[in-house]
Amino acid sequence: MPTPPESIADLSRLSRALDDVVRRAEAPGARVWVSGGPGSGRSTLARRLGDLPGVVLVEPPDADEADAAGHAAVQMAVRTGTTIGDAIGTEQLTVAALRTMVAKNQLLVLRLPHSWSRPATAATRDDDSRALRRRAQAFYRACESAQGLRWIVVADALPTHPKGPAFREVKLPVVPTRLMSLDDAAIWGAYVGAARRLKGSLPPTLSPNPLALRLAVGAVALGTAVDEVTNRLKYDDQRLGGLVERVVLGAMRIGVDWILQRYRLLRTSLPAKDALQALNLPPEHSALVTACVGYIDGETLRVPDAIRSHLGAALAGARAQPINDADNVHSLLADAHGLCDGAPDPRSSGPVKVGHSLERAFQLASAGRLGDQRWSEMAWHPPGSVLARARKLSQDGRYSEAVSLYELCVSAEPDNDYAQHYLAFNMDRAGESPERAERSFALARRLDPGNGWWNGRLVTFYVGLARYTEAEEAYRAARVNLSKSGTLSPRFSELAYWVATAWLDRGEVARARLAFDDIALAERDRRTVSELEARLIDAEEVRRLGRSVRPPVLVGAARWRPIQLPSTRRGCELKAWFGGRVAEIDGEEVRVVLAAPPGERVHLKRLSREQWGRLTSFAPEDLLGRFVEIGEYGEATVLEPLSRGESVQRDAEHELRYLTAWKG
Amino acid sequence: MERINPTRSLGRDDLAVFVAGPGLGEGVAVALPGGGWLLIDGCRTGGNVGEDVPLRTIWSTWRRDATDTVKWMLLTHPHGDHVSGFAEVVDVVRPENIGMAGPPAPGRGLHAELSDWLTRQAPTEDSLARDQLLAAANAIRSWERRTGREVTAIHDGVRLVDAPASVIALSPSPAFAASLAAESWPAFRDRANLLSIVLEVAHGGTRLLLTGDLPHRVANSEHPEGWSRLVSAYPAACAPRGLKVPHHGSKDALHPAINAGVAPRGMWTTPFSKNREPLPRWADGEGLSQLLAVDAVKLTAPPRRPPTGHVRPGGEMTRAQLGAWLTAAPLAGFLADADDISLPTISSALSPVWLSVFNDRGDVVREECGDAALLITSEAPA
Repeated sequence: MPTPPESIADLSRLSRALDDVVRRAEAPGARVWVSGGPGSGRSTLARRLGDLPGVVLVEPPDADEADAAGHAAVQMAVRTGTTIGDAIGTEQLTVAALRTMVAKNQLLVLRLPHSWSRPATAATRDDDSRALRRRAQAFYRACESAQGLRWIVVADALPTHPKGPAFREVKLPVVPTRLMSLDDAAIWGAYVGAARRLKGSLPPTLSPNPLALRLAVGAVALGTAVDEVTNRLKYDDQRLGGLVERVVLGAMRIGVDWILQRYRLLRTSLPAKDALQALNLPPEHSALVTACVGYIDGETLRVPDAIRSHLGAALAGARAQPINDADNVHSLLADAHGLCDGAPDPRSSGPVKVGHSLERAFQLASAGRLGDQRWSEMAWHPPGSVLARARKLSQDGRYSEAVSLYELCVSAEPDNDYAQHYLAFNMDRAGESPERAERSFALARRLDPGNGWWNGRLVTFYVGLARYTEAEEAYRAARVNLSKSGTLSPRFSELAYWVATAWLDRGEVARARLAFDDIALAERDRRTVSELEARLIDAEEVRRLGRSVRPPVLVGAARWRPIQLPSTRRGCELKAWFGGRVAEIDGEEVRVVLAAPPGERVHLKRLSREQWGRLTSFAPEDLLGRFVEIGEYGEATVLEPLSRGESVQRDAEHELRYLTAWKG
Repeated sequence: MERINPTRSLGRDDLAVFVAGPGLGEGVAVALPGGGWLLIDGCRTGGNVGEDVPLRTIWSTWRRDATDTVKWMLLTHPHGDHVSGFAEVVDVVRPENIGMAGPPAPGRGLHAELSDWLTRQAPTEDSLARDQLLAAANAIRSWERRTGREVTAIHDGVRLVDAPASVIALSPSPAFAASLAAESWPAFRDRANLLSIVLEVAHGGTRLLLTGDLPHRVANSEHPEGWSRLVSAYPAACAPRGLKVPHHGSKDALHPAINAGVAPRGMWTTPFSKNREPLPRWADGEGLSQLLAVDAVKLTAPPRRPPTGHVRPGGEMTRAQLGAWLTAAPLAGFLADADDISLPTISSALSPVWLSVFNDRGDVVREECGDAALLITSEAPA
């Protein structure tokens, strides 16, 4: 196996590993797990295995992508020559393909991204991902259940503990890095200066893995100190997360994080020329993609999944602003994959091109309106891409169209809890048939009772329809479903947040308080939670007083502490103060509602315009509805306006969606 | 004044009226002889979730058996202060019918009110009322879907219940309801009290009049769709044995003809505490003194929170005692001439409630009240 001249990794040892793996997988029912750290050449090995006769290579996208399981199933079916019907579900297709494979004594090579190794029950704030990972796991379990199947899993960890015969592990050794390559301008392009600086500071004994080295160059090129990067390489090169984070922060610092965001829309290898055209990168930073977070292998741009998955987390963690041309990039990537494929129907694209065909479908599904026409012209929509398209339509607020696609998903796979839930969600958003939405919301929860979102949305759906009894029952059930040994799961806090918000949006202050109190104390400092708490405290005060006298954003001790009034004014101390609001102007009379701290009683003060003018230079009309503070200093009394305070903008059309029959 | 007794049940043939009003909003529950209930409007008190809506508590406490269902729930007019808890009650009691004032599409008023309100920023005190209105509207739509029925447009002449007691709507007139609904909403809202449903409940010789917020005068002028129309069209109905006093006993809601003639009479009044001078007003010549000219007034709660340290003189008191109890000594500084407009503190659903049970001859056979309720008399209690 020759080493490509432009490679920074010495892959010569992979040949031995390849022979070893093939030998171990020869026996009927053999199971081999190829493991190894980042940059150990797992993807290269998988591709080379895929080139062998009688081997079916399946390379699904990340487990929390909407099309993960469907993508894998169609790849497997096309590559085994299994007939695919028009409206077939993922599970059905997987089972059929596995049968074909066993009958033909084909060898399955399953190259799994890192995300497939995270169990579906892993702690996450995102129960959407959890549901999609369960779908991916179902695909994997189907492979496990196939009697007599010979298969090789290439992954950093196995997704589940196998029930059948144990896997024999082949651990790939660390791939040596050719540090000399750091001088090679053909590899590093505009980043070669950074690569050389890094080379100059690396101790001779250090041999980082190739992916870590690439990231290190990227971090240096984007401004991270060489020493800091070198230290990280010394102590932590197996975990790429820290280096990816530095790349992201560096990119954000100089305003090129959009490059990383565009790159992340690409999920798999593409001819470099087409990929770079679609990504449209500035020349001075194209090396970020071609040499750091991705790399060029011959004519192909490779997308290492170990980096890609960290990249998503790092961009989210750094709160990078989403790019506004994602639909366009998806559309261009669809075209790029289309150039590699050429078939109008993934089923007829053949074993070599089916990956591109499926990627094209996914990218079109994700391209919003820019993908509408090409999507509708496709002769057949792979099941995973239908789910991805439905999801995108829903995110774009095209709820009724999303409903149609989710209907297709659930008719093919009635036990798909994700599709059932979002069918209901989109029906609800569209104001369509609440009875059917309710059935699907409830079915999704029944299919995965431990999913916090499925539980929570059923509750908030009932709250929205003012079905109090059912909302309270569903909330009680959620508490049971998300508890272990009587203790609420940490994920329950998010559910409680949404339920409290829903009750408060219906003016049900006491019910909102009950749900809010179920939010774990550790979560109370989150911005969204503290904003909700402020609204709730304000509503409780208004219930007690009958009037709004302080801005709703103030909580805790700050609620009844003066904000605008200084403690002294012209040598006089603030001896008394009131929080209030300019409630009405009636001709010559200005009416202010006000309360003294701590807000136990509320008063109405009527002021003539002359009296008003002695308190403030603002015209009363300018402050109508505004919160104010009134302070007494010595003989003087002053009135200071406060900002309006953040108020929740309500979407009238959405709020009234079930009342359209009354619209007239 | 006998304290309300949740363990003392109602008889199957009783005509019982419960009037609840904690300071904002009001709710009326009527247990009909022979079975069945009317629940009108809504309000909310303090207390635990599920135990803070008087009409829910009243119905679940005094329903006579499992067949004693709610025949009608009514929203007299689409104002936020009459709708608190309405959604919850619709969901829990599962009424057989729901009625709203209006022409053939009565939900339109609610929709217009809500769309107007949702498009503008409002302080929390307004948004809470709006959100409860939204909840009520959704509860009614959910009820329509669940039952396959439609909300009924209630106007003059609609007969809700036939026998043994009859319940008939006397107001609003169909033409007026239609003309109001055709108006732009802000104008409509300002006059929504005129849309109030007024019901006559008749059982043998007993007549009760349940009145919503229907006014007699608007902007100091007698309004043709107010009480003068009813007094002229239904003179007998306007001389009831039991009167839920209209519009919290405001002077402009009291028509002299209604306010004369029949005594003793049950006159239940709910307070409205948000005004500078809360309702009913107790000064000379105001609503309370006019009502007291007929009989004692059954007030469901004090019209405002008494000043700290002021001890209630008892459940029964004169108008003067009420005024003395609720009027604070002048404050100092900036608050010197300000009005205290604090809401009364009501901690449980049955606190601000009057219960009166009638026989079919117009006699009150049982009368009880919650611990916040007051009986206001013209003379000092013996």
